[in-house]
Amino acid sequence: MTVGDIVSATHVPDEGPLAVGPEAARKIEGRSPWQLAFERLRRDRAAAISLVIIILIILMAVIAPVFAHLTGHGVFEQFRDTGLSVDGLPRSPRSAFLFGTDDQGRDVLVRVAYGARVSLIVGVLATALTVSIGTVIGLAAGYLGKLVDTVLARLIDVMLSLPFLLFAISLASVFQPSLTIVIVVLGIFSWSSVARIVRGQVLSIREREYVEAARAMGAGPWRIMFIDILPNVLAPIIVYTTLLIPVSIVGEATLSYLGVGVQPPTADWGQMIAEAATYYSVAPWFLIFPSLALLITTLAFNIFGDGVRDAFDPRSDRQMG
Amino acid sequence: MQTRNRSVAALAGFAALAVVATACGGSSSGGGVTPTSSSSSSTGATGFTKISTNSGGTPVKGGTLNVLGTSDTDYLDPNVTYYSLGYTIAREFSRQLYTYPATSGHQTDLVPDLATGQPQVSSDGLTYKITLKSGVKWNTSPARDVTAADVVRGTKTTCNPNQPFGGLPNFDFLIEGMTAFCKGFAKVQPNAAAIKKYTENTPLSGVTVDPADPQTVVFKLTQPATYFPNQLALPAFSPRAVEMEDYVPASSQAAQHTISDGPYVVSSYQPTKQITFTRNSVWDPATDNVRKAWVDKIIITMTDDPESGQKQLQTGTPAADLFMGGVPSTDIPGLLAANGGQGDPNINVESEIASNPYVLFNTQSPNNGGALTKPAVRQALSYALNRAHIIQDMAGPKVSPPLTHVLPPQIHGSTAIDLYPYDVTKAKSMLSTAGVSKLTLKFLYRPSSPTSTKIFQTVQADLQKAGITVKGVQSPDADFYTKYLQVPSAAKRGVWDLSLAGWGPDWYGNAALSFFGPLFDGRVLPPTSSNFGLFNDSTVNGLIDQAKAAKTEAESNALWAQADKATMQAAAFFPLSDPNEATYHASQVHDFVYMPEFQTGDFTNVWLESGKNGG
Repeated sequence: MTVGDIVSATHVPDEGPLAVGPEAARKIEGRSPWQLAFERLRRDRAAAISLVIIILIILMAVIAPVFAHLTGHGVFEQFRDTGLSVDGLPRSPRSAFLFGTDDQGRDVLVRVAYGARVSLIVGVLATALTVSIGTVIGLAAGYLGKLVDTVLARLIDVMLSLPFLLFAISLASVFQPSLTIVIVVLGIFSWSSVARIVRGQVLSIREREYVEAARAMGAGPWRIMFIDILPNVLAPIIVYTTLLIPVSIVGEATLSYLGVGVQPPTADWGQMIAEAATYYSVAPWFLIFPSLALLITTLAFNIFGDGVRDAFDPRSDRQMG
Repeated sequence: MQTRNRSVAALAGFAALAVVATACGGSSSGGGVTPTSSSSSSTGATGFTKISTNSGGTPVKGGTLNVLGTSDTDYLDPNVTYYSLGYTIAREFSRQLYTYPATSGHQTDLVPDLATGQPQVSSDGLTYKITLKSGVKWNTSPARDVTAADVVRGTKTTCNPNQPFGGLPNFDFLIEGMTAFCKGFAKVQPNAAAIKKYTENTPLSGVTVDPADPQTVVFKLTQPATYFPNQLALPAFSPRAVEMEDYVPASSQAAQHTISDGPYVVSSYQPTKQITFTRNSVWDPATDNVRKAWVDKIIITMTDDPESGQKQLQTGTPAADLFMGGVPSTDIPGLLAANGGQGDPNINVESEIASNPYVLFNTQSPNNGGALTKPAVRQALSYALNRAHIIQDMAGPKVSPPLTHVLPPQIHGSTAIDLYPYDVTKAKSMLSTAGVSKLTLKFLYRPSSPTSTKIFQTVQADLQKAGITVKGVQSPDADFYTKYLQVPSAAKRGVWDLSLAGWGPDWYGNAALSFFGPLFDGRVLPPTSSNFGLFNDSTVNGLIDQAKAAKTEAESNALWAQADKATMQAAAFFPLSDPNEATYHASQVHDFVYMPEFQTGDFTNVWLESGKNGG
C-alpha cells in the first residue's frame, strides 16, 4: 500500500521566526514550531469538526456494549423469528431494530457500533506499527549511510513495488486470517513510504552543526539518531501518522471485504459490506449503514489529517490564507 | 462418485449461493403456490414445488431450440462424462439400454430405451439378459444396426486408460471380471491403437454378447443387485460404435467425431463456445419411446451469464428458449411472487433429489477427549442444531425443504423419520449424562461461499445455547475437499469437528446404495468414498451389505429404510435439506419437464410455438 502520494510537502519548519503566520505580527514573543502548529490547527474549522466526529466515533466504539444493552441485542445474537423472514431475508429498520437487521437476523445498529472497534484498533495499531518500523529504518538508512543506506534504500524500493493486495491475500491464505494478521500485513506493507520520508529528512539534518557538535562531543550513533535527530523529524511523522490511520482503516475493510481479514462472526464494517452486497436490492439498510460508518470515519480522519499537515506546513497555510 | 459429488456440490453450492440473495422479503409466500407440510413421505415430493411444464396444445414440429449456458461439458463422450451437463448433451445423440422419461411426476421411473423390455434376470439374481430393439441405427455410412457388441464396447470403455469414468466404483466390483479387466486396461498406453487393441481383444466375462442372438447382451454380476438396471441408465453404459475406436476416448478428437444413434447428430462443436445439433436422418422414431424430437435444430451457446440469460428468456425472444442452469437467486422470489402470488407461469421449482448440504460430524475426532466418537454426543448435537434456522440461511423452506434422514423422498426405500426434533434442553441433559462439558468444536467452512459462512455462524449461535463453543476453521475452495475432507488423516488429527458437504446420487429410483455406499460404508475411506466423517458402524455396514444383495426390490427397500434409521440413530450426520432447483423456460417453450439427472429440461422433448421457433 503506497501512501506516499498523500503528503506532498515534507518540508518542516525548524526555525520559528521564518515560519510565522500573520498572528505573530501582532504580538512578538518566542513561540516554538509546535505551539505555532497547534495555533493554526485550532483555527482550522474543518479540522475541529472532524476532531469532534473522531471523538464521537471513538466514544461509539468504547460504549458499544451500551448500545447492545439499550437495545437488548447482543452483537452475535441472532433474532431468527423477529429479525428474519422465514426465507431468511433481513428486516427493514423499525422500532425494535433502528438500522434494520442483517442476513443472520442480527441488529445492524449494534454491529455497526461494534464494527468501529475493529476499525479503530486496526487503524491505530497498524499505523503505529507502520510508523515505528518506518521511522527506525528511515533513521538508520539516513544517518548510518554507506552500505546500510544502500541496502535499506533498495529494500524500501522493493517493498514499494510489491503488489499489496496479492501479498495480503496469499499471506492470509497461508495463515488463518485474523485481526493480528491484518495488522501485521498492513504494517509490513506501509512502512516503506514512512521510511523514505524519514530518510530524506535525516539526510538533510545529519550534516547540521548541532549534530556535528554532538558527534564531536563523543555521542554514539544511537544517541544522535534518537535524541538529536528524531525530535526534529517528528513533525512530518505526525502528519503522516494522522493520514495513515484512515488508509489503514480502509485497508482493513478491504481485506475483510475480500474475506481475508477479520473473520465472522466478529462485527466489522468491511465484512458487513461484503455480506450486504448480495442483498443491496432487497435490504439496502444492511449495505448503507456500515458503508456510511466507514465513509464518515475515513473522511473525518482525512480532513483532520489535512488540517494537521497544513498546521505544520506554513506554505500551505499561506495558500489557504 | 467423487467427481460427481464434487460437481453436484459445486453446482449446488452455486445454486445455494445464487438463492441466497433473494428479493421481496417474504412476500412470495402467497396464493397459487402450494407449500405443503414439511414432513416427508416416501412417494411424493417434500414441501414446496411449483411445476410449470407449459403442456397442452398441439405440438409443433420444427424450429430451432436456442439454449444459453455458462459452461461446457466435462467430456463430449457418453461413456466417460460424469456431469449433469454432459448427460444433458448426451441425451440428443446417445441412447441407453434404460433411461428416465421426460414425464412430469415420473422423471426418475426407469423405462426401456434401447432395450425391448425388462431384463431377464436369472433366479439367483446374478445374470441379466437384455435384448436390444432392432432397427436402431448408427449414423455411419452405410448406417448400421446398434448391437449388443456395441454395448460391450461401451462398457469396456468406461475404464479406458486415458480418462476412466468417474463413477466406476459404482459397478466395477459388481460386474464379473471388471476389476481385473480395468486393472489390465490401466497399464495400456493411452493411444488409440493400443486402446482399440485391448478393448477388442480382451474378454470381459461379465459383459458378453449372447451367442444365440447378436442383439442380446448378457451381464454377469458378482452378487445380486436389484439396482443394476438403474445403473444401466448411466450414459456410461451407452453402446459405442466401433469407428470411435479410431480416437482416444474422451479426447478432443473423439469429441469432433461423435457417432449418433439418437434423434440428433452433433453437427458442430466448438469447445467452451457452442454446440449445434441437427436431425439424424437414420433415427427411426418408431424405435424410440423416450424422445419426441420436435425441434429440427438445437444450439447450445456457452458464453452467457445467468443474469443476462434470465433477462433474455423473460423477453420471449425466439433466440433464447432455455438456460442451462438454475434461475439466478435474486430473481427467484420476484418470479414466485409475480402474477398476484400465482408465480410467473414459466418458472419451475422442483426437487434436486439430493441431500445438500448436510452437517458433517467428524466421528473420529480426538478433540474434547474424543467426545464426537460417542454416538450420545452426536445425538445431543443433533438435538441442539436447529434445522429451521439453517434453512433460513438457504433461502427458506421453499427453496430448501427440510430433510430429516438420509434418503430424499424420491429415492426408493425412503421412509420419513425425524429422530431429533430441536430440543436444546434434551441436548444439554444428554451431554451431561455423557459426562461431556465445555465442548469446543472446530467448524470447517469456505469463507468464499456466503451460504457456508452463514451456516457456520448459525450453527455457532445455536450450539452456544447448549453450552457448546464453535470455532471457525477457514478453507479456500480449492483446498476444501483435497486438503481437508478427502484426507482421512486430517479428520483423525482433529483438524475439524464439523463441516458441510452435499451429495447427489449417481442414479435415481432404486438408488439408496448411491447414498449409503459412498457416504456411510465405514469400510471404504476417502478419497475413494465420500464418508468424510469416517463413520463406521457395524450395524449400518451389515444393513448395507444385506440391502445391496437383496433379491427383490421390496426386500431391499425395507432394508434401506432400516439402514436409514440405524444411520440416524448413530447420528452419523445431520441432514438439512433436499433442495429445490428453480428453472425457467421462455413462454414459447412447451412440454418442459425438469429432469434431476440433467438439472434442466429434456431438449429432445420440448416443442416451440410456431412463429416463435426461429432465431
